[in-house]
Order: sequence, then C-alpha cells, then structure tokens
Amino acid sequence: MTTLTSGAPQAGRWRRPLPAPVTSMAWTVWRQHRSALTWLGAVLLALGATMLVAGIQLHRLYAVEIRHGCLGPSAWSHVCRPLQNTFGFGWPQSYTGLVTLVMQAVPVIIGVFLGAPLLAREYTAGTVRFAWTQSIGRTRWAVATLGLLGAAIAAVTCLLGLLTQWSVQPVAAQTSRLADRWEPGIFGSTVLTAPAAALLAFAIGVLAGALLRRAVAAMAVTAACAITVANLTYNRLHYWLLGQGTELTRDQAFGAAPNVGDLSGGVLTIHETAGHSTPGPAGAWLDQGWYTSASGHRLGDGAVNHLLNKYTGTGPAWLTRLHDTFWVAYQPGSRYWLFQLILAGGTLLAAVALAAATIALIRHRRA
Amino acid sequence: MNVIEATRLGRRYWTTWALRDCTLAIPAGRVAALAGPNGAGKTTLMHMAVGLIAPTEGRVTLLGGRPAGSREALERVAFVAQDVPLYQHLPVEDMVRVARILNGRHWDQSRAERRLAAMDIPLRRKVGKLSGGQQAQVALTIALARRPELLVLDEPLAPLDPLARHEFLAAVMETAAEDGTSVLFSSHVVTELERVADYLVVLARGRVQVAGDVEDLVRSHQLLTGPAADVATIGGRFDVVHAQQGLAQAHLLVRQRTAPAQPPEGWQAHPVTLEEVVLAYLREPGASALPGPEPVVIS
Repeated sequence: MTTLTSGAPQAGRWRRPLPAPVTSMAWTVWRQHRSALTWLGAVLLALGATMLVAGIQLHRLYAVEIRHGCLGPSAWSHVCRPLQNTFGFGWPQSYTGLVTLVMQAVPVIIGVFLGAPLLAREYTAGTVRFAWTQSIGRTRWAVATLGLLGAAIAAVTCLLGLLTQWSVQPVAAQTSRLADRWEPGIFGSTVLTAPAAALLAFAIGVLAGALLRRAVAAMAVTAACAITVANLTYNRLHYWLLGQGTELTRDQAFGAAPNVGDLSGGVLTIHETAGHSTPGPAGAWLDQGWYTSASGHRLGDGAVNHLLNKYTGTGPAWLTRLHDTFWVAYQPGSRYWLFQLILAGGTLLAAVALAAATIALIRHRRA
Repeated sequence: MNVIEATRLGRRYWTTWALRDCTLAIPAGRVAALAGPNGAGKTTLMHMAVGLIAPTEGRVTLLGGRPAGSREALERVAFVAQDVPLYQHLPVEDMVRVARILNGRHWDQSRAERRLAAMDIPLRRKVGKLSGGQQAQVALTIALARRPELLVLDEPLAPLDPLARHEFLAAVMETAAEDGTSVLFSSHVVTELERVADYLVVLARGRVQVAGDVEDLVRSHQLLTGPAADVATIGGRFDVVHAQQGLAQAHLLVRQRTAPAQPPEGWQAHPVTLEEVVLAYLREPGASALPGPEPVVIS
C-alpha cells in the first residue's frame, strides 16, 4: 500500500508528455553534462560580464574624447592628455592584451574540459554499452550530442567574439597596435573566428576522448593539440593567409621611414595596419615592402640598410632624389570580412572533419 | 523464427580469438542461458548480437534476419550489459527519463513507473547510491519499459545477493511469460540455469560446445555407473562426454542420440540434472553436443 500512495503523485509528475525530440535530447545532454556545463558557463559568463563592463567604460571614455576633439592632431588640452595617456599606457592596454590572451585560451578550455571527457567518460564508465544499445542508435546519439553541444558552444563564443570586437574598438581607434582588427589576437577573436576556433578545439577534444578513452589522457592531449593549433593559427597561419593575393602600391613617405619589420632578402616584413602612425592605404593590412632602383631592380639587404642608416630622419625627399621606389604589398581594408570568412570557414571545416571522423569511429569501433 | 542466428561468427582481438566459428540458432519464445567459464566468449557473443562490436568474420542476425546493430534490431532488443552500466550521477527518475528520450516511441512509461514503485526504489536517489540489487532492477526496468522482443542480459546475476537474484529472475520470468519476450542471459553460475532456462548454449574457449533444448539435453544424457575395469570396452559403445574413474567404480556421463539405451550388464543408468550435463561439458572442452536435438541451420 505504501508503494501505491508514494507512487501516485510521482506518476503525475512523470507522465508529462515529452517535448519535441530536439528539446528532449537537449535536456538529456544538459542533464548528463550539467556540472561541466555549469562551471564552464559560469567562467564564460564572468568573462563576458568583464568585457561588458570594460567595454562600457572604454566607450564612455572614448565618447568624452570625441566630445572634446581629442582625436585630432592638435588636441593637447588638459582634458585630453590624461585620457590619451590612459588609452596609450593605462588599463585599456592591459585589458586589450589580457582579453586577446583569454580569448585564445577559451577554445582550449572548452576542448579540454568539455570535449575531451565527453566520450572518454562514457567509455571508462562503460555507459557506451547503455547509450549505444538504445533505440536511437549510436550514430544519431553521437550526432545529436555533438550537434547540440556544438550549437551551444558556437552561440556563446559568438557572443564573446562580438563583445571582444566591441570592447576594444575605442582602444583600436587610439592607434593601439594590439587592439587593431587585423592583429592576430583580435582577428582570431571575432564574431566569426571565435566560435570556429572553439568548435575546432571542442572537436579535437571529442576525438581525443574517443581515441584514448581515458579522460585525463585525452584532456592532456587535447590541451597540447589545442595550444599548438592556436599557436600555429596566431603566429603562422594568420600572417601567411593575409599575405595571399595582396595588392601593390608605391609609398614614398613610408619607404623613407619604415619603422617596423624585419629585413630579409631585401624584403621588409611589415605586418601592420596602415592608418594613423603608419602610412599606406587607410585600414589596409600591410604585408611586405621593398625598394627598387631606377632600373627596376630590387635592392638587397646591404643596400637597404645603407640607405636607411644614411637617410632616416631626413624626410622622404631622398627616395625621389635617388629615383628609388618603395613598394608595399597590402591587403585592402575592404577584404577584412572576406578573410574573416576564409579563416573562420577553414577552421570550421577542420572542426567538421574531426567531428565526422569521431562519428565514423563511433560507428565502426567496438564499445 | 530464430531470435539469434549466428553463422560462423568470430571475433579476434589482435591475435587472440575471443569467439570463433560460432554457428548458432536460438529459437524464439525461449529463455536461453549462455553458460561457460570466464573468458569463454559469452560477452563477445552478446556484444556482437546487440551490435556493440562488429564481427571479425561471419555474421549474426536477430529476430528473423535483422542485422545486429541495425536500427530495426536495436528497436526490438533490450540489452543489460555486465555490471549494469547506468549514469551513476543521475537520480533514478532522470536516468529513466534519459532512457525514455533515447527510446522515443518505443517506450512504456507506465510500465517503468509501476516497476520502480513495486520495487520501492527511491526515485530521487542517485543511481550510484542504490544497492547492487536496486541498480540491477533499474537497469531491468529500463530494458523492460522498451517492451523488447528479445531481452539480452550479460551476467545479470553476478553482482547480486541470493534474494536479489531471486527477485531479478522472477521479474525476467514474469516478463517472458506475460509478453512472450525471448530472453538470452549469460551466467557462469551453473546452479541457477536449470530453474529458469529452457534452452542452453555452452561456450568454451571461444567455441559453441552445447546448444539445445534443456529438456532434450537432460533426456539425452545419462550417468552410467559400473566397474572401472569395463570402461575401455564400454567407452567405444557410448558417446562418453566425461568419465570419472575411481579404483573400483567409474561414472560415465554419456550422450545418446536416440532413445535411452539399456545400460550394459553390471552397469546402472541414472538420469542427470542440467547442472551435471553442463559441468561435464565444461570439464571436457573437447566434447560437444551439436547441433542439438533439433537440427540447427548451418549454411
């Protein structure tokens, strides 16, 4: 009798009809990974809140600067100087550096703490033998689980990317190189590239978990792989990509005083945005530069060094006088979102390929 | 219809065959026991049957030719794996809800509720905090709520105490009787088999040693007791599965394909129990009783 009375109210609660399959699968995924999702969500929420607060403050300061005309060249008023100092040397600089670093870490964290244990825990606990023998079938189970978590990751990191772009915008407008939209840290943390990077790291983690079937080992391998991928993306792939299909222009003024870049084989690596302190087509990404003589030959390292040592600081007149030309290979500012799409698309493609490999592994491998 | 049909089924791990050349047909409507020592290939056979692992060679189909692991097979077969793997960190009600979602329309919610209530299982307690018997009952509840045509249980009794074993087996038998569900369960505990199983498969060293109807198996074997000196002459006339010889007396467990033969002079024939038959075969991995009283289809 006791079982009947205690069972009756529960039955009512239970017999609620199930919502649509997607919603109920979402509940399943959430319920199973609740603790990981909760603390990960809390960390990302804290990050987002910090960016929101910092962004509001930066935009407020920026508005003051605009109101007082501080962005013009003659704005050395007593109102502008402290503001310009703040933007140039104060917390906005540290904030920009920190936020780009943290945004590079977010995919690694997602891959290590959500991706790697996802399947590894199922294997170690033996629960794959439960999950894969239900009516849903293992393929649909895997697609649903990865798809729903992927969608959640994409949504959250999209928002974080948006917050990053928006919050560093006033800093970028103050000629901070770090905050510039073409710089790897910002370029890789936009509304497009941030979710792509997060999904790739997640896919790496899931695959590592499926291959190694040990959560701790998979987490370690995922950390190593995701950090390597981030490192390669920010330090190599980024510069290689932006060097593709560049436009050419002559720039006497810049050539007279190239204040950045390494010289090798007569070619200066510039890797900077044209704009405020650097000459060149406004808003463009300057890739490389080199000198040609009047006869059209490229000058070698020795000749360039000689010229720069001799004439730096004397103004652009010397180049014209020697009939030399400074060439800049650049990426027009209008191509910014094209390259965003290329990087994000390529990253996403890699993520999808890894996810497909994981699902193929699940389909064909023993439990 | 056969619930499980295996044809020259084999599975190799690296260089070791866990199961080899397994040809088997288990008819529908039976409670079939899969017996054999540890490492005989019971789990491997079951995992291939429910589609968890792919065979290295041969093939296995379920419920009248449905390929193992296919959607149509998965929907009709419920599997409770060894050590009852459930999500330990979930409360019972959430665990059951997960199972309900993973099974969609192939789910009988009221059956799950009734069973859990009858077993007095606390719904809000985490699965990992339940006793072994309760965990097994939750796993069985989930399996039964799927209203399977075939219920596959891998060593379901191993972690249970005698009372829990009794309750578990009673629940399985009840379902088999009520719904006509076919059951295949593995066990290395021989004593329990006779009470519940009406079909028996014995695996040894990765091969099928015995397969057949329990009644027929018991009827077709007998124990001959007589002077040890006669064993050599008698042995040739009977199909001796296992011989146990003392100084004066010998006990021969023999198999006869036709009606029980008259024991030779000086010998006595005794009927055997299923346990004795199984133990005899387990002691003699070389002996076999195949394909069983009713011819198994070998293709």
